[in-house]
Amino acid sequence: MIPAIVNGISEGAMIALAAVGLSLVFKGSGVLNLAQGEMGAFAFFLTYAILGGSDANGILLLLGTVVLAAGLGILIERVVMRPLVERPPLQGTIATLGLALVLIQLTVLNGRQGFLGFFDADADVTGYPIPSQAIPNPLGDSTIKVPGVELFLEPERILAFVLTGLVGFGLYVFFQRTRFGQGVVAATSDNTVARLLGVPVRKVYRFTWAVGGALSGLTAALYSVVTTFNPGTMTLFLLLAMVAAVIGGLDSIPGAIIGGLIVGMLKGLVEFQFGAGLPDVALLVVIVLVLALRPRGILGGAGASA
Amino acid sequence: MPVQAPDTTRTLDPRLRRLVGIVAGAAVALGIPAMMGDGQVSALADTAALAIGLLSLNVLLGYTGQISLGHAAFIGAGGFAAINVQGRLQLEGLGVTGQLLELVAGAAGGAIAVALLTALIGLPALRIRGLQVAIATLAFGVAAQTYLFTRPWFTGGGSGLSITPLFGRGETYRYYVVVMLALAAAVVVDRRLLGTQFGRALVAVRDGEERAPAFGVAPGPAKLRAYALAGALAGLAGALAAQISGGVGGIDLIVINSLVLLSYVVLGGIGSRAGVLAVTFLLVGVQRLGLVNWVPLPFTEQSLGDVFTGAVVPLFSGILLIVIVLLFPSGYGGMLDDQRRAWRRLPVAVRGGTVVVAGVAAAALLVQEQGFRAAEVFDGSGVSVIPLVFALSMLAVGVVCYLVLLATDPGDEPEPEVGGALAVGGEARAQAQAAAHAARDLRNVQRDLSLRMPTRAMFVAENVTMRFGGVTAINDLSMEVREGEIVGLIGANGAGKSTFFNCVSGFITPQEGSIRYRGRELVGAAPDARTRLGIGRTFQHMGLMRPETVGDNVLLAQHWLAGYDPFAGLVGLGGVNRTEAELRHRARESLRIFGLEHLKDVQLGSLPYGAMRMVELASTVAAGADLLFFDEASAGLGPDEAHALGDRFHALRDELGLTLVVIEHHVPLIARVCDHVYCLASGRLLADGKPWEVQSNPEVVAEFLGRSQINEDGGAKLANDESGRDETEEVPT
Repeated sequence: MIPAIVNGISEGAMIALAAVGLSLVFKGSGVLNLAQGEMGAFAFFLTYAILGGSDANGILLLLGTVVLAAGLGILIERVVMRPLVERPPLQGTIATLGLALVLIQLTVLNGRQGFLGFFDADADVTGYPIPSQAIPNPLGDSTIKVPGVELFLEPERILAFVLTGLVGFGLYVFFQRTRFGQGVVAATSDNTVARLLGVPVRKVYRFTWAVGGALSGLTAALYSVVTTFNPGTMTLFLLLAMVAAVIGGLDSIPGAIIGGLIVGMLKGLVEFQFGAGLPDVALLVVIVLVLALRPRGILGGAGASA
Repeated sequence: MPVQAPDTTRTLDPRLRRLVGIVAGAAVALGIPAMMGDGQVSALADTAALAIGLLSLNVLLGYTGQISLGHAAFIGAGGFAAINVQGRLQLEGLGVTGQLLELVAGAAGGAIAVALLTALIGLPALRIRGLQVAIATLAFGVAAQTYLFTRPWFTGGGSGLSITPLFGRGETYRYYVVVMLALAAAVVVDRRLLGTQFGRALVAVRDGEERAPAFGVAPGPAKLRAYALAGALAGLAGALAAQISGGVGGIDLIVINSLVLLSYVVLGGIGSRAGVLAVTFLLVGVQRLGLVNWVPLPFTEQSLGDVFTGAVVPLFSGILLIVIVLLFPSGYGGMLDDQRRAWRRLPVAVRGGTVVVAGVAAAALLVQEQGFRAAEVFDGSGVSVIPLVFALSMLAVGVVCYLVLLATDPGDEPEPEVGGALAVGGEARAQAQAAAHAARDLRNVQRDLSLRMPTRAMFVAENVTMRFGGVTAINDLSMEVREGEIVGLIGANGAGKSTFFNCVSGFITPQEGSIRYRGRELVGAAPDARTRLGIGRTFQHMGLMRPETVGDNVLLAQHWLAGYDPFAGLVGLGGVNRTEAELRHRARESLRIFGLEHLKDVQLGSLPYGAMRMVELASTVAAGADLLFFDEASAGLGPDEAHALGDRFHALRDELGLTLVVIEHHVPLIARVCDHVYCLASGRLLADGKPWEVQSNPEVVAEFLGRSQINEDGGAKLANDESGRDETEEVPT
């Protein structure tokens, strides 16, 4: 039971990272980013291939994925999302659906047909799944034993938790204390007024997509540590992030973090009690109930239901 | 190219023309597959079943503006429901009758089960606007892929392959006919949906959910019905698809397939039935029929089909999806309209010749195909000659029917002129008289209508106070409107006029006070309920659906008058057609009052602003309200147009017995038409009385008339009417 909760919380931290990315983009433009999972997955597989497959250094893999995914976010914003800024959010959301399809299939081709294999022809990039990637542990031991209860913690899970806290705190400071952060807050609550006040709205959009991409990459890299990774893995993970974001209110970043932890714990507990597969059914029940009974989530503002 | 002059001697009754068109389509659809091989016919039938599923998705995405990210799961669930029903029936002993019964039971089971399922998952749509329900549909897709669709209790055993397929080898043509009939039924339902109040309510929700209640549309229930209908169609599609394989395939790809389905609808054109069907048959059909194998790739030994497999298909549709959203948001359906127009512009002889040549070519292909199998025919083991005769004659029927249609083409109606949409000067006078006539006519229609009409009423507001945070927008306002009056509401920008209208129509709730209509308390009632009571309003910034035509807008405004059940409307039961005819007549007469009937088929958004406002007034009148609140009705009108508007107000009052409350900045209009005027300042009642009393009230003059001379015969407006924006932006204005 306790290990299930602890593992749930650490997975919840990863879910929270992806949910924050979703919330940021949603706040920015009302678009539900259906490619939130795939951006990271694509960046991860590409970095994995570039770094030489299974020989890849864990830390480099993590950093490379984050940087690549952030770049991908900027590219997507520039090429696809910017022309859609003035259109209804439905169209932007459909465009992200197209992106998700493209990224999933590029990832699949990357492995199965060596489509992108030219990055390193000899590396073990053909064929999935990619086995879990351990991040080298500075403490030397691969697990941390907690006395008292029977508990083994992989350092990656602790890392995920710490990183989520850091990212959450960092975003909080950024939004509250920096001028540009305040501009982002203004632009995401009222685009027109913000523009009139001189906030560089375009930069803000690019920023939300860059951070959304970076978070997607961070999630994918961390998740790869605790699970075997298939091209479809992040597609299913997207749902976890969406449910977390909705529980939090969809337009609230602290809400997304809390929602992520709740979803992670729920998933861990249900899996522990009832076995695999059922967490997805539980998610379905939770999402319908939350949307029907408390559509603004825990911390959502007026924008969450509009 | 000039439009063909209508030749009345050679035109057919439109209904007969439609029949001929249907016969032509049916003949070709039945004829050509009669000569195809088993595999190809079943691929075609599969594509038709998929088309039903895509029509279902189009109901949600196109008509309602809701995304379903789990449609493959809904379709699959329909298949499993059908399998469950049929697996328990055991009707094999009854022969063909049993087979038919089993088919009907399976299809009905699939449709009903999935309708309930989607309604359940769509429940949140009752409470929320926007796209969040999409997440619930995605959750269902994921749960279906990872859990539900692998449970024996759900799938009816094992991996889902649990019934004997109803249509075995050699029976695929029969299966094809069944699926095509179902597709035809789905198309009819889809057509009727848009022609009845069910679909109009959906369009209102899609185009402006927050304003839909002003038409008497309750957005939540409308969306929920859309989910149920989409579910029924998806379930039907799944049930049909299960009949040939005996199971549901692609379970491990539910999520990605759902996304691909969504992309097909976008490619076809969101909300375009023709576009979605065309894309289904062109893209999916051609791919499944293996036609891509015929396309050689230059410089290689391969064909397009060798490359165009597996992962490349979603990749291709993903790229296409992004391109379409960016460059052609109306999808293939949008291009289809242009193509049809271009085709119609060709001379009759060219069109007829093309169709004859195409028919002969198809016939030659069929005969050649038969030739390939001649050996089988001769040794007595293979294809009989009858399908060839059948196919050729069907093809001939199709070509002949099309030629009949061409020969009796009545030509296009001329496009209505949009410029100078509103009459001015002496013409306006004549139109005002016409308006009075139209109003009288409308009253006569109303008398023997089967529509729900409200009785006469009276309106009282008492001590209404509305605060936004620390700002008191309306302060202790009381007013009264007697039946048959035209009451003016004047005041500077920010005086609280539009806020008061919003209190009356229910978009905001005042903190204190009472608003009563015919003795009935309105505070606390939902906006759409107030519309149904008989209170109509226009918005300061347009409450109509700009993407739709003028006629559709007025029809939509009458939403709540259509007393029939939304689902009955889909199959044409319960006097639906008669009611719809009455509604169309009402819409025409209402447009005539405002001199707009010639603009019926014009897209609203393409009209000048003043004309759009007139359409809004016409919609409110058509909605059958007896107490109308007009917010700045004369905004965007010139002096002559405004004068004509006054005549129309009189026509509404005198001929239709309506009671009007108008917010106006146009003082000559107020002075001429109003029986009573209330003047607001900073949310308080400053003065009220006859127009001349209020006009000469020193307080009123000091408050805001001071800077402008009132010009009785001119168009002088108040000095502080410099912009259309005022009052709070919290609610629709």
